[in-house]
Amino acid sequence: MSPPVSPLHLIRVFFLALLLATPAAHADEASNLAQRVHERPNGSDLVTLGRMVLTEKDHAPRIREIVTYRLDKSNGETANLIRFLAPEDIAGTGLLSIDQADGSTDQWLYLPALDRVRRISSDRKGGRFVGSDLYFEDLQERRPSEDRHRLLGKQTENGILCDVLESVPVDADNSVYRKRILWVDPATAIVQRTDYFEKDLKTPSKRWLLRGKKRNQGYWTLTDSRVIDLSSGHETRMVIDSALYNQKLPAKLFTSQALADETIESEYRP
Amino acid sequence: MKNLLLTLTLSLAALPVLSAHAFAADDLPPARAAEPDAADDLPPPRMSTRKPRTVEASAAESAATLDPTDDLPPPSAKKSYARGVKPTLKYGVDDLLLELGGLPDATEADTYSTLRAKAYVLWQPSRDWELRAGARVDGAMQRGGGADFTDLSADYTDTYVRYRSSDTRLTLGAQTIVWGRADEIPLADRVSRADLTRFVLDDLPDRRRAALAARWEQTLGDYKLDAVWLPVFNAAELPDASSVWSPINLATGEIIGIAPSPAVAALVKNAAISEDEHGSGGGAVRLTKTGGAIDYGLTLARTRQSQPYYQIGGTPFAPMLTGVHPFNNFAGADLELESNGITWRMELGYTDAIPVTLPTAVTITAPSLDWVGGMEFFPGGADTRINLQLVAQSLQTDKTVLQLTEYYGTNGSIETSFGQGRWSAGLRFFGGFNVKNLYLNPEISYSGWEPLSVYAGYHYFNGEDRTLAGFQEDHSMAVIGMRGQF
Repeated sequence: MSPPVSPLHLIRVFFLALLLATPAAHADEASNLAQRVHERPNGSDLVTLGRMVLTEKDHAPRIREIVTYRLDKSNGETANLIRFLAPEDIAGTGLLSIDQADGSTDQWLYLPALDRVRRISSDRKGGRFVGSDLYFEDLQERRPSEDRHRLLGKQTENGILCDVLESVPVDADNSVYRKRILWVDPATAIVQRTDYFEKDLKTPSKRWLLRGKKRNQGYWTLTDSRVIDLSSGHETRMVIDSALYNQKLPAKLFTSQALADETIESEYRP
Repeated sequence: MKNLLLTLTLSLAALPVLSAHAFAADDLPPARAAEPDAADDLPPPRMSTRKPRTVEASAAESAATLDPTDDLPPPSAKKSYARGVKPTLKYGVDDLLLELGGLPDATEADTYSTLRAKAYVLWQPSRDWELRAGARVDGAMQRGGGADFTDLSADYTDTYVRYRSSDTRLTLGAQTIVWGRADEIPLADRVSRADLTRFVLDDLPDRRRAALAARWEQTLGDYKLDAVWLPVFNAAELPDASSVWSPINLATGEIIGIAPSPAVAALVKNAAISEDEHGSGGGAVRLTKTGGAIDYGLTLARTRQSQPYYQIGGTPFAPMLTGVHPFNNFAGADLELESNGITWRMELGYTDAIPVTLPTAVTITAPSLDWVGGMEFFPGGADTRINLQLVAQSLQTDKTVLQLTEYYGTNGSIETSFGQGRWSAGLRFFGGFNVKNLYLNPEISYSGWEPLSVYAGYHYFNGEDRTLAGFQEDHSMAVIGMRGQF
């Protein structure tokens, strides 16, 4: 017969078990937060009219005007169409991306000079989008399951006590970044700030900051944000001047036909 | 026991705080210093691409009346909010080029300067109709040798009427239609009109001119049927006969693509040169599928190519060189796919009757089988783009002709940008495997003064007889220039 277990021993074991279970509980909490950020209500489709302002010290800012269309399809696909409206040298250029349910992405580029739709590699994650501080990866949808998440604590950002979330790629080859740290408003799941780490795990190379948000049709729209290259001081400001949700965008808008013929998508512009 | 329970309760209460501190406090980044906020000096936004309409006003109203504390978005709209196409009038300069070139090795000239300006106006009164008018001015000045000339000419660019309805698009007028998938030398490019005034100095879009055409484009799901009829034949735009970029070198008596010889030289130097442009240009259809794993296309054409073939005629005392453009039939297939970060492109084409010249100066025709395969990728997924293509051309004849019957080579381009996209550097090239035929065009450009960019580059030609680079071997040129669109 085994000796009787003392209550004190039981409590010690219980306390130890709780302590051991804590990291797992936090990992779940972190994953849940990442999932909440990913699933923040954003409409079934969205059209935005915006500007991208490229700022560099001692140079005049360069402004790109962009209209974007997004459609979440029922089969798990997400389709995005981006059209440049200005400046003249890139006006009319279009980029169509279809994010497949299996995580792969098909992309086509329309070049007005040749009037030709070209399939391009979506693997260009580290390429700068029209010379900005945004990489192509920053424009692609990133699923929470592609990263390991960890809660680092709480910190105030934009006057909001945020949850600080660290996200590290599960597959290092899957991202330009070695890790990202996000400051998330726990009430709205809106990211207030993101630090991007490329080479050095301790020093961020890039920072994204939210400057302004606005409710449109009940959805939070991040109307003003900026990405700062922390080594050079380059800055790319992204301003959304107009946003329309749930316009019932037709699937036809996300085809090579609409990519090559601006008239088709211009019917849905704000 | 009561004390123990109290201890446990206190421990549990303290657990989240304690564990949070023990878990990650060291990893929490230090609070950031406030980033200096850029002055809000943005120009007024383009809030809308159109004037507000009643439907939009009510939608905006409903959004405005939402309780801001309500986190739930409203239900999706039941119908599409297509707003129709806003009538638009656009105009601008879609191309401006000013270039100064130095020709250190040429005997005909020391400098070659270029001016090119294109302007357009586009009016779209409704979704269905679109009218475009465009014009261009081209200037060239060659100085410093025995073949000085100045040329200033005007031409139309795309000038058409377009009607669209649902999946149909009809276009009548002058149009630039460049079919195919490969860069620089797409085989399916059978209905465009070439611009040979600057040889290969420019990218493909600038080596094409608008041609009169009737075009019917019909979309059928992922498929597109494109039919083009050229009611009037338009030959390629040729440079001045004295230009270093002319396909006939009057100084040496050579014709591009034909083996030089004293007999040919004597003939060329004394011949009257003319162009046969009568009649229609023919027609072609192209079926393409875009979407899914592979994009592909099929092309059938019976057209006249705008590049001239120089037929030798006349009499020994009054020789003639006539640029002719015979009809030929073309069948081609092409595909494009992406795999492991590489975009693969391929074209295969068969042409039934390419005119070639026998040593006796008699013209015969021979079928030709051509293939282009290319790969495009971005090393490291970053800002450098590399496009490499292999080319194979084979004239199906066992007769001895003055042209090359087989050509195997490569071409492509490497481009990169730096300085937040303000600077770019690139290299365009082609080279032969079975014959020496080397062209290199390194270039660096600065686009920090939008909408203008300035550039410096070099065009290097070196090759054997009968090759493109061989024909221009003495015309390597250093250039500085300025481009713009506004």
